[in-house]
Amino acid sequence: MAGKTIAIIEDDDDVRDFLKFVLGQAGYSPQLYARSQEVVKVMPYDPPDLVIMDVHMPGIDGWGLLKIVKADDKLKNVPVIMYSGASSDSNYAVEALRLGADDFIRKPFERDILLARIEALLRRLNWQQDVLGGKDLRSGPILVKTGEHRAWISNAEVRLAPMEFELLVCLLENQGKVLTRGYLQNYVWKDSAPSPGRTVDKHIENLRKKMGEAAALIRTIHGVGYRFDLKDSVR
Amino acid sequence: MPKKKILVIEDEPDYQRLFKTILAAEGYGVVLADNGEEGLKLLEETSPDLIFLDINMPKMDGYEVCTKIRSGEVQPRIPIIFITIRSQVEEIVQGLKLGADDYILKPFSPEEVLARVAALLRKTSAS
Repeated sequence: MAGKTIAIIEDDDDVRDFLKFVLGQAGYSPQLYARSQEVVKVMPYDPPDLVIMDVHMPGIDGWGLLKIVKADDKLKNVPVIMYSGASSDSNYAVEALRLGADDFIRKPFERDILLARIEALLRRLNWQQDVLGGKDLRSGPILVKTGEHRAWISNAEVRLAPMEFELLVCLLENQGKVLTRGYLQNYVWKDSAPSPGRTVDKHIENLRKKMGEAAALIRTIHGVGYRFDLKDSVR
Repeated sequence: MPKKKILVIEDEPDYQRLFKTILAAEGYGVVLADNGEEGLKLLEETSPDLIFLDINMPKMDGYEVCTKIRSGEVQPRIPIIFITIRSQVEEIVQGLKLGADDYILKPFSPEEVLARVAALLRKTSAS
């Protein structure tokens, strides 16, 4: 699994340097975070393939950080390994798994075991993405990776709300076809929406606002719905 | 292609024998030193391709030897794998900071020894 990025969140310099060495040696690209606050600010814009973090940290501790990561759309599917060295830790593993961590390791680290567990998690994630059909949708300046739930316009990543993302995917998958409001509503909201028609329009409007010039690629078909089209053809 | 030579600086006779057996079986030339001082002398005399260095030795410890090797170094830079009995992060990081390229814990398997040697020799010949 060479080339995968692994975020290391650890305030102790020696532990951080050790993990950087071991992971780098194994062919991963380590991303280093010495303070929890950095994680909150930076990580959503540069999600790693895996996170490994200490339970005990000043400021926001591992538990707090784990909750934040699991609540963030961009980060919630990133596998997390937590670790701790304190001796009175018998419940930490249970707590970590309960809060959504994928694994818990006790220090002192054993290099082989650490690497084996990381590899196992990355292998599992790879499988999930293949099975769940994560795919790339490309059209003009737009790229959407459904597996990772990320979107780029002219190579700059855009942060989309869940509904906006779903609408964009729907439009791209049905490129050139006119999608009625009812169809879009059904696709995104499955059973029912609060006020029919209104919500689709509002979300399309929000989506367009985030797309810059590419917003024009979503054509309004008056009285009917919307269509994604690279060509400006007759309505 | 000339045989690669490995210098092993290790005070325990059992481990000296073990290293010699493992490395010689794979075709490496092995030079043994009982302590740091002898190790530094043999380093100059034999110009090895790689060094195994025990951290926990009486008299001159491995950290001191490592520092001396790196400070007096001429090109090319010889890869060093240090040997330690403890999995303490601080000690391992210290060794790496002093210029070691990798570490191995006692007790170790022959496979691990050979794998780490091969990886470092491959890296050195590639650069």
